[in-house]
Amino acid sequence: MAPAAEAPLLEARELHVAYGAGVRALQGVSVRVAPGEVVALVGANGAGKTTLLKTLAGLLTPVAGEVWFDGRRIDDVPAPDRPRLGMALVPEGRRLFSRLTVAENLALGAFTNADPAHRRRMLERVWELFPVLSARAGQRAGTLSGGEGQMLAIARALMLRPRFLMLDEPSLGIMPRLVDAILDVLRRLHREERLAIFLVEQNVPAALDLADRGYVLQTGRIVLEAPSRDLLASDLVRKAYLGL
Amino acid sequence: MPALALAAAALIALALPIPLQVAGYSYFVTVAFLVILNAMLGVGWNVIGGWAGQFDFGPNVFFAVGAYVAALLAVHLALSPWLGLVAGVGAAVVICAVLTWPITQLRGHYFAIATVAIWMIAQPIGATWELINGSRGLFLPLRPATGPLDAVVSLRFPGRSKALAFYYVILVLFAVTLVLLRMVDRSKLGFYFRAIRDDQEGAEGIGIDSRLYKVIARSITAAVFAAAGVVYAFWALAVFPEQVLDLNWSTFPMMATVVGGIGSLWGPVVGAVLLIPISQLMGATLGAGPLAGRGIDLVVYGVIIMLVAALRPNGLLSLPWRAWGRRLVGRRR
Repeated sequence: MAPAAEAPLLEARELHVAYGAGVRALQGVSVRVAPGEVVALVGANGAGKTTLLKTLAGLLTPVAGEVWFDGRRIDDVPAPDRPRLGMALVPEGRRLFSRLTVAENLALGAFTNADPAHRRRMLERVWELFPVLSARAGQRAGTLSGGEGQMLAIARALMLRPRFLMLDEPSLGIMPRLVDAILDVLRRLHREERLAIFLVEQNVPAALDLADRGYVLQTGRIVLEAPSRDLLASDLVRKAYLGL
Repeated sequence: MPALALAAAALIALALPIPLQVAGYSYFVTVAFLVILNAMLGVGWNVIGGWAGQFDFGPNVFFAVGAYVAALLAVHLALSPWLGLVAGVGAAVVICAVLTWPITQLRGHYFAIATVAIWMIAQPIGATWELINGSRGLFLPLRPATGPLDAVVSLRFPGRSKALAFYYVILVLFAVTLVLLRMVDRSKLGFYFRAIRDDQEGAEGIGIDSRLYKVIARSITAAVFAAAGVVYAFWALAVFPEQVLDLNWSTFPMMATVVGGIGSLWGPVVGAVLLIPISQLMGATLGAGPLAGRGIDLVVYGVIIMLVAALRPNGLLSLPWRAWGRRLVGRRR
C-alpha cells in the first residue's frame, strides 16, 4: 500500500482547537487518510484524540486550520450535513437512542438516505455483520449490554453508508471477546468494501494490528507518524503505550 | 390503543353530552368542552415536551396568538372564525419559528427558562399593545346567526345550544389533531424528535439537524395551541391578555400529559379526562362549603401528581391495562 501517492480522502491541515479562552487542545495537527486506508490514532488520556475526531465530524470548530474531505474544504459544513458527504463518527460512549428499539436506531441511521431499496440492502448487510443485533431487533437500545451497544453504534453509522468511518474508543468498557468480534467486523469492512477507517483506541496493539499506519498524539501535537509495524517497534510506543 | 377501547372512547365522547344537555345540565357540557380543549392542548404539548423531550413552559403564548389573530380578523374584517383559524395557526407557526430558533441553542433547563421568559415578555405586550386594545381586550361582534348554516360558519350558536355546539366543534378539531399527530408520530419526523430527545449529539452524528427539528416540533405544538385558542376566543366571545396568557393554559396540558403518560399519543387525553373534571367540579361543589376558597383543587392535583410520580413515573397509560383487559376477557373464553 502506498497511501502517499493517492489523493487523500480526508485531510486535516494544521488544526488548532481551543476550549474556552486558554485551554489549547490541538496545536497544529495534520493528519491524512487515503481512500480504503485504516489509520490508528494513539495517545494518552487528554492528548486531544477525541477533540480531533469531534473537529473532523464538525462538532467542534477549529480556531485555525483546514479540514478537507474528498477534495473539498468542509470547515464550514455543519455537523449534521457531514454524514451526507460520506463520513460517519461512532462517538465515545455510543450515544444510542436508548428508548427506541434496535431496529428503530438503525432505521434512523438510514433516514437521511431517501432510497428505500438502499436502506433495505444496508439493513441486510448490517444484520449479516452483527447477527447478535438481528436477534435483538425489537428490544430497546437502552437494554443492550456494552458490547452489543457498541455494535449497534457502529451498525447505525454504517447505515449512513460512509466511505470514511471514525471510531472513538470502540473497546471502552467491553469484554475482550466482543472487542475481538468488533475488530473483526472492521477488518471485514475494510477488506470487502474498502472502507477507510480512522480509529482512536486505547488498546494500542489491537489498533495497530488492524491499521496500516498510525499517528501518535501527545499534548495536542502529532509527535510520530509511521506504518503500524514501525510504530510497534518504536521506542516511544513500546515505552509509553505498551509498557515494554 | 386497541381498536375496541378506541371505539368505546369515541362513542362516549360523541354521546355523553347529549343526555346532560337534555337534562338541562349544560354546565357539565361545558366541563366536557374544557376536558376536550385541554386534551387537545396536552396532545399538542406532547410533541415538543414528550416526543422531542424539550420542556416548554410557555406554549400558552401561541394559544393567545391564535385567539387574538382570529378575534382581530373578526372584529375588523368580519372574517369567519374558520378563516381566522387558518390565519391564527399560520401566524402562530411563523411567530413560534422565529422566537424558537434562537433558543434552540439552549439545552435542558435553560431552554425551559427561555420559554418562560418569552411568556413573561408576552404579558406586558398583551396588556399595552393598542392594536389588540391592551388590557381592555377585544370583544367579538355579537349578532344572531341567520340560520343553522350561518351558525356553523360563524360559530354563533343561540342560547342553550351553545355549550353543546362548541363541544362538538372542539371535538372535531381534536379528532383532526389526533389523526394528524398520529401521522407525525409514525413518520420520519416523529423518529427524529425522539432521537433528539434520547441523545442530541447522537442524532447530529447521523445527520439530524437538532435545532431545525426542535423548531419544527415546537411549531407543531404552537399550531395546536393556536387552533384551540381560536375556538376558545369564539366560545368566550372576548379576548383579554390575562385570560389567554393565563399560566394554566400551559400547566394544565403539561400536568395532563405527565399524569396520563408523557410521550405517548393518548397519554395527555387520559390525563385531561381525569384532571379537568376534578378541577372544575371541585371548584363548583366546594365553592360554598367549609372548604370554600380557591385552591383546594390544586391541592388534590398536587397529591395526584405526587402519587403518579411516585408509583408510575411513566404515567397512567403505562399501567398494565392490556394484561388486565386480557384477564377480564380471558375468563369468559
